[in-house]
Amino acid sequence: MIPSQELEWVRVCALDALTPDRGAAALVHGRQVALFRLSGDEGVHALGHRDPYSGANVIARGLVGSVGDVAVVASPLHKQRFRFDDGSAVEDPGVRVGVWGTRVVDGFVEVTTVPVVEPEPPVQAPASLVEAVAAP
Amino acid sequence: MNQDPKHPLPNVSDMDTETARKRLVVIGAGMVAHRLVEALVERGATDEWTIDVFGEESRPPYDRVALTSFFSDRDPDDLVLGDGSLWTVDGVRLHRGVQATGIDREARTVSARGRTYPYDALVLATGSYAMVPPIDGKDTPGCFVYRTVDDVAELRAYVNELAARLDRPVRGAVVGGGLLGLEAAGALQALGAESTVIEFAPWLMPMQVDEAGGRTLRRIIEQLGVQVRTATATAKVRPNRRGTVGSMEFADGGGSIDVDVVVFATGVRPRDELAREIGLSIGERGGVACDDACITDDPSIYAIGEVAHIAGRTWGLVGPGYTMAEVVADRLLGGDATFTSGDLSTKLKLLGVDVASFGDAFAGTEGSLEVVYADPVGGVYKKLVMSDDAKTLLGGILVGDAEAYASLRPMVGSELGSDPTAWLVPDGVTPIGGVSLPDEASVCSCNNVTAGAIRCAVRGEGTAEPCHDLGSVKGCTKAGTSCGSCLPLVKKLLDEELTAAGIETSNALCEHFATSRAQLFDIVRVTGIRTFSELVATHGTGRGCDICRPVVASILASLETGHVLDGEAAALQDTNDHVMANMQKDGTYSVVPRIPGGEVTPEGLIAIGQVAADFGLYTKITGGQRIDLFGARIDQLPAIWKQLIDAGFESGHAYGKSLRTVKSCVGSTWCRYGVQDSVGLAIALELRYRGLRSPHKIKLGVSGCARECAEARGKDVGVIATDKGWNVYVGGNGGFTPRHAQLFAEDLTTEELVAVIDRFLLYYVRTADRLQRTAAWLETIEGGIDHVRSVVIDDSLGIVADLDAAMAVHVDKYEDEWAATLADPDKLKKFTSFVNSPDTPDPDLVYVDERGQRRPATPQERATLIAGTTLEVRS
Ligand SMILES: Cc1cc2nc3c(=O)[nH]c(=O)nc-3n(C[C@H](O)[C@H](O)[C@H](O)COP(=O)(O)OP(=O)(O)OC[C@H]3O[C@@H](n4cnc5c(N)ncnc54)[C@H](O)[C@@H]3O)c2cc1C
Ligand code: SF4
Ligand code: SF4
Ligand code: FES
Repeated sequence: MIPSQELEWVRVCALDALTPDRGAAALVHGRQVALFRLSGDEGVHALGHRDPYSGANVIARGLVGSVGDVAVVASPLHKQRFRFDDGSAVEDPGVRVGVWGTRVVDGFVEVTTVPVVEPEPPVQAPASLVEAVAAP
Repeated sequence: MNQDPKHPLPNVSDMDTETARKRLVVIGAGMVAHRLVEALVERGATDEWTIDVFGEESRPPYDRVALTSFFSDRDPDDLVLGDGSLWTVDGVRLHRGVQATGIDREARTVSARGRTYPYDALVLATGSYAMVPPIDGKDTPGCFVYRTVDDVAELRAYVNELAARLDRPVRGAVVGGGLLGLEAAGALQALGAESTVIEFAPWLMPMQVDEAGGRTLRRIIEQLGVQVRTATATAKVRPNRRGTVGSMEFADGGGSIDVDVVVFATGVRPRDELAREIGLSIGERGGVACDDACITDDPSIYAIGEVAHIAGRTWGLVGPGYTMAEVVADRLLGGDATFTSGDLSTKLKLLGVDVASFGDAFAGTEGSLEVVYADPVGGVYKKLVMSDDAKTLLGGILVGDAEAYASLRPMVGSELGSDPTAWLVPDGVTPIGGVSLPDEASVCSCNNVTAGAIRCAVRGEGTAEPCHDLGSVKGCTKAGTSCGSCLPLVKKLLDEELTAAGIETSNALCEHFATSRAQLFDIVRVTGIRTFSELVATHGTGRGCDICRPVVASILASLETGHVLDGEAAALQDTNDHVMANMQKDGTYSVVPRIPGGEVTPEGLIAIGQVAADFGLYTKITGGQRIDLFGARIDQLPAIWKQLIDAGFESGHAYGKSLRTVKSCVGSTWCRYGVQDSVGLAIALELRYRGLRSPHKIKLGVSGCARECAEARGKDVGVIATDKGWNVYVGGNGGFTPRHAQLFAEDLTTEELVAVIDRFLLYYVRTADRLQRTAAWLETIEGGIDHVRSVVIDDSLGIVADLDAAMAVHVDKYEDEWAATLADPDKLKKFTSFVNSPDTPDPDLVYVDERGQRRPATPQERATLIAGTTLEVRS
């Protein structure tokens, strides 16, 4: 975790632009982020948009839900579920999507410029599926 | 048979030199022979033995028990036992259509087609032939027996031909009111003929049921329109002026009746002629006499199945025959298995009437007590035969309601536990819960499978993998694969064993809903709840998930027909339904415009081609006779659809659990064989059911004649043109477990056909489980296809009006989802790449060219392509 005082924030969209329980993708400093506003929940969650299993940028298009008390989103490709709190895959906790910090300011959603939790691809993933980062 | 000098047939010495293996010859290729070979191959006998099987019928061994299904499911190939691989095993040879004509005990050879085949062991499995009583006129054209596929095929052709010629219903008579006779009467009815059953004994099925049971059976059958004459002997069949069957006369002043077709079902006689010729002992009423090892007078000759006279009698059921096959397989491999006795229990379901008889049905045991329940008005008669202390079940007869048969039959010889009358009350409430079957109780009498064997299979003892569903239990143990009457009990044992092992057997949809999809459907329908949040709050837990959300979306769509993206529903849809396209591996989508019936104009084709060219989409023809356009980014979808809609296309719902396509052949418009306009019908059906949301995808097909070029029987609903109208088949699919659709109704007018399909589809939509295709649904729904037919055609549940109204609403409210989306700026907002940068497409998509089109780059190609441009790859 990066200490919070060092975090820089960037404004991405109006809170109203997010449909409850449905994701939206955003570009944050060259990286793709999936934003979610959960029904019955004040805040917004931001996970990496890239599915670590397939390498495709699709997480924002997954279905949200819960496993026990934990809120998750399921990848639309092969249905692995990722936790909103730490980005880890329910079936395979070593694998993670990135997690970005979020806050709502004056009705706008802001996220941290860098992830607070970095993604973790599955061990056997081909090198080319490891997140490609555009040069800043 | 002529010998071709260039390819001489192998002679005796060729066969000798083949291997050093011993030679087994089997005469007869029926059900029991099949089981013998199967058991031998399973046990690795082909290392020691070569097996030559001679079968006089032209077909490989088939399921004779299910012969009558030939009338509901015409394709005789569906009756063939096994998948044919048995006959390709090294050392196993099936000589189809070859009759064995003699045996030489000295030389140990069998002759067939003028050649001789040596044997080290010989098995007679020649079965029986249908016995025809020696009455006058029994060979008049129009007289039939009921034993082989050829018999029933000829009967069918004859009745159909008469029906086309006469302007009145065909009149049929069945001589013999036993199990076979009633099957034959059912078949005649299924062919649209009137039928009269003539039984010599004072009541029907005298071998299986007592007089009171026979009387109840008669009442039910007469109500179904079958005439019954008991205590009547047939004296004569008289020809009409054409020389075919015209009438029959009864003995002792019984009068006569006019008939066109006569079926003899007066019993069977063992085909022991070869054994008689070589002087083997024969039982007093026929059958090759053998000891409890199935060995005849000659130690190298065995007899099994209906031809064997063993344990004091011949056995006319397949179960005892299978036991004999297992005994001989064991003996040939050096074992010492014996046949002591067989189970003669039977259950019959014909014309929708249940009859079952098991154990000591006639209370022959000393001091036995009978417990009887009779409801003459409801057409039910049930009797249990109990030991003298009323505790142990000895046997029973069930007429009109045989629900309890599967549970009761294996209990024969065991204590019934509670009050025996509890088993007889209506509604089939079987108190099996309290009583557990002993391991040695036989559950499947056709295949001799015990409760213990099923429990072992579920636990995975002695099987490759534990069997956790009905299909694999059937595959492993063969239980339930013949007559099917034991399936309810097999299922019960499976569930019990799974529960004991702590394996979830609930029908809960997911962790958020404890109900099945069908129950949830009813809840939504009855309560009027129309949002997911209310439903999960009142009937579920948590936030839902990727399983229950789309299910609820589909249920709501079935009941509401609102737009898939309306209100809260948008958050329930899988991405495919949400953006109305199919997500592919790189996160882009494929787009499929509807091409009803596969008919497309040149202008339409050009328009699709233009869209593909403009957006750089990969194009491919689908199996459903339309065109798939791949590689569309989410942000391109609206523009692509604008262009498609302007050219007259609409959504093809390739993404939805809904109607996909109605595939058709070109039909009578162009095809020289076509008898109906299959394309016209396919288009009408596709336009009618487009957009119908369902538990799984639905596919239809229409063929313009019986040649079936549209492969309609591989679809959920397949329609095949006849010269009188349409036949409709249901429950077919391709994919992982291919299934052939079964005949559902025949010779319908177009209007009748549409009504049948409407109701079939909606009943499926309401009652199937999530992701259950129609085939699996028909298999699991209580009562199977017969039940569904009675709901759809006879309105047995009184819901037809409701289903019809629901379909009318669907047809009326249909709108193209894509046109509606383009007209709504709110909905269009969803089709952006990034909320904060809508003009930037996903920068990670990389394509390469192949065969003149684009495709996603492979990981290796990506690595080089990305490294070569502005992107760096972190490792
Ligand atoms: C309509 C119908 C319904 C039935 N329903 C039931 C039921 O519900 N339950 C039940 O248990 N049983 C039922 N049976 C009985 C069951 O089908 C038989 O018991 C079973 O088929 C016997 O098997 P098998 O192999 O001994 O004889 P078959 O299946 O009759 O096979 C014998 C084969 O040998 C061939 N053959 C004979 N002689 C020669 C020769 N010399 N050379 C080459 N081939 C020869 C015959 O053509 C035949 O194909 C039913 C039978 C019929 C006809
Ligand atoms: S099914 Fe019949 S009508 Fe259709 S194409 Fe084939 S032969 Fe012609
Ligand atoms: S068969 Fe397999 S690879 Fe081909 S489309 Fe279907 S799922 Fe994909
Ligand atoms: S009892 Fe006939 S298949 Fe099991």
